[in-house]
Amino acid sequence: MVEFLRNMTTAAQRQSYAISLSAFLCSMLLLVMISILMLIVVRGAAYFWPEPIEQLVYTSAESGEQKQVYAQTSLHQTAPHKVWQLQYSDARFPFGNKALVNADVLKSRRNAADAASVRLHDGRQLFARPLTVTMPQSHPFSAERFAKAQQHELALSQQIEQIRVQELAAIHIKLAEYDRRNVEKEAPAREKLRAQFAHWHKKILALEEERNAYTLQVAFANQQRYTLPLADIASLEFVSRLSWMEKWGVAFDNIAVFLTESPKQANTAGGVFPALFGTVLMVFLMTIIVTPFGVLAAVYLSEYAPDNGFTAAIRISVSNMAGVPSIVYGVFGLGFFVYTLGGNLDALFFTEQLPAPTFGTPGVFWAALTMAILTLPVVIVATEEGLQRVPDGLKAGSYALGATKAETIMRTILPIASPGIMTGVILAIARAAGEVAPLMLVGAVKFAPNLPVDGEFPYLHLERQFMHLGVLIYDGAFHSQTDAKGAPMMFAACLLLLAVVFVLNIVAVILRTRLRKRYLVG
Amino acid sequence: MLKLFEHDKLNVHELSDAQTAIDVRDLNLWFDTKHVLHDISMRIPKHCITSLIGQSGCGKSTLISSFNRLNDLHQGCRYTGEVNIDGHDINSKKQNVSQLRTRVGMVFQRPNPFPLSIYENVCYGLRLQGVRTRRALDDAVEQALKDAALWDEVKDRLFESAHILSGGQQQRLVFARALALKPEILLLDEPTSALDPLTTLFIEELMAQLKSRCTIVIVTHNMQQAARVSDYTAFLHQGQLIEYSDSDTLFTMPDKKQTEDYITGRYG
Ligand SMILES: Nc1ncnc2c1ncn2[C@@H]1O[C@H](COP(=O)(O)OP(=O)(O)OP(=O)(O)O)[C@@H](O)[C@H]1O
Ligand SMILES: [Mg+2]
Repeated sequence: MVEFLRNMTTAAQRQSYAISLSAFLCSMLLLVMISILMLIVVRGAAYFWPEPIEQLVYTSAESGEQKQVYAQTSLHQTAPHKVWQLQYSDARFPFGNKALVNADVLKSRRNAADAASVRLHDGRQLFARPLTVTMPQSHPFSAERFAKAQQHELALSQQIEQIRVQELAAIHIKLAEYDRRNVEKEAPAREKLRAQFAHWHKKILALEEERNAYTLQVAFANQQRYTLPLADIASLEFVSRLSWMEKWGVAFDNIAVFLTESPKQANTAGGVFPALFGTVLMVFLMTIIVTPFGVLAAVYLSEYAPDNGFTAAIRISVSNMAGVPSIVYGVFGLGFFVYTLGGNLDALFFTEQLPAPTFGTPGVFWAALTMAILTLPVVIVATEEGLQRVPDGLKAGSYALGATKAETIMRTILPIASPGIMTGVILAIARAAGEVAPLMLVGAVKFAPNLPVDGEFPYLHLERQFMHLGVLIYDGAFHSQTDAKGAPMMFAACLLLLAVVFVLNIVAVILRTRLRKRYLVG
Repeated sequence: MLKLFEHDKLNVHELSDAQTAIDVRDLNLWFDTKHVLHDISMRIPKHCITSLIGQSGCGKSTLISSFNRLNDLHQGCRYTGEVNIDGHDINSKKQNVSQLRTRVGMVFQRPNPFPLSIYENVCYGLRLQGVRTRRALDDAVEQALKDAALWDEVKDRLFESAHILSGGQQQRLVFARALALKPEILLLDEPTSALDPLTTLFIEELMAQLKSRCTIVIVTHNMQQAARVSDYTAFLHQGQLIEYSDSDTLFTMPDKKQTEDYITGRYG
């Protein structure tokens, strides 16, 4: 075959074939990359864009009856025939259901300007026509009335919250204290507290009853009624009436919610702030840990270590360590850091909390440490390359002025090698932000009740578990295998993860360019 | 024409200790197994310019680098014999090498300014010495740059990167960097080979001026330059010191056949 090709073609032809083949493969690669990016950007952005609500009439495939619904539609497939995907609300599924509808059974389809998208505080959503606002008397719906009713309801909610936080919490604390001091069950002080508690509790119940009188009645497309407590409603938007500009406004609101709020509905709605925060914090901690270790190790290897077989062996093992599967690091982190190191820390410093572990359980610090070990080889290799590029003439110049080896390293070699160090850190950051599997073993969880940073001393809680964008995406992908509810959020989280890695990289690249310019040798 | 100070030439083989800046005795040097310097013994006179000439690879740079122990940087470099400066053998274990290098400055073939500002380049050695006060540094920088005849050209841009300077300016900056430490001895390893003739002349003039302050040892491939600037010249061949005398004698009536062949260009 090879022989045949050689005989049949001239050298110039062979060369042009080689060029075309490599260009073809290169363009394939580009295509794949662009499609990945496009998919994520389009599907992720769709999560934020307010889709108009439509009123549809179609024959249901299950029952054969005609159905009339308010829905957001998207094209599911075009060939061999058109199929629409509906996200609709009706009396059976007020908070949304999905359906696939063939174009040929679709009777009518029109914009539903009077239907609104009602979003609840817990992340659920419903499409319906608002009819009346009860506050506590019923009035026909209007935007102003709704706003007023919401204000009243909010005032009541705040009162309830205040009683809960100020009065009830204080009573609970006191009761707990009595329990600790073994105060008798029938002691007068306890009786007094109990009476107080009953008083405030009754007050809350009364307020809640008052609040529950505030409701919104809505109607679905088939005229069936539904009643929503006003206290549950987060927002109400006539999506179909929105102008282009207003849609952008809503999209930005959605993005803001996504970035600043906690997840709801088992990570299928709400925001991803804790995951974003956890990812950035973990990467930040990892960078702080890995940079000095990696740089010092590289300095030792390239400047101090004797140039012999042993050093060469170490060098080879370091670069091979970059290829060890990440789950192995995860298991190492769990077995060594969490159980051994963390367990011993607990036994030494947190004995009063035992058997409840403090550091002997997965947490953000162990995750950062594990990722630091995982990315250490990358940093070492890149730094060594940077160190090797320092011209011998400059080193000799430094020594000739009376500098010791340490001084030469600190003042000349490291600054010149700093762009190389930055390269290593960039690679490490990209790697750490994207890992999922090892993180799930050493501290990343699907849902963490608290952020690792809060107002409570010592403010930074390194032992706490944290949320991570990658884990969130993994979780979303699992959900979307069984039902498509979590999928849009998953794509949005993907988009965000890409953006985070991109921003971190850009920052590091800018820094590196600056360093390069500053320490240009030539 | 440039020989401003017309000395009565001393005989380099009969220098007294007081007249000697560097006293080399039976210096042998190996890189791994390669014997690079063979039994070098010579006395380099104070406040003179001594040039080393010889074929490429004959060991000139190695010899000059053994005056400030710069060969120590290479793994596998071993040496025997003495190099006495101020009556102390610098090859002894007790020698503080950093301190030695502040007394014996060196300028290399290619200008090698650090990627720092002009000011910081000149300060480099002083800062290592622990000089911290701004005034002291300012004064030293100005003086060193004036000594290197660079002050007028850079005084307005002291805090810009040294890389904006031309090659000749960079080389003078490297001179200034070495001079800032006020060395007793200045080692120059082909300092002008990367420069144009005019800048070369400029640097030669500089050397003549510096002579009153320090002893200069220069390696050069340029025979005219050696004849022009140096008071004494040593000819090395394959790691051996073949001939060493005052420049006039060496270039006009060399003793050895090898020397004559080399300076008349009959070597391959
Ligand atoms: N680090 C080193 N390791 C091994 N051999 C070396 C090393 N440095 C120099 N040599 C060898 O020592 C000999 C003398 O080198 P040196 O640099 O002193 O020559 P030179 O006279 O300065 O030559 P040139 O005029 O080309 O600069 C050469 O043969 C060279 O190969
Ligand atoms: Mg040389």
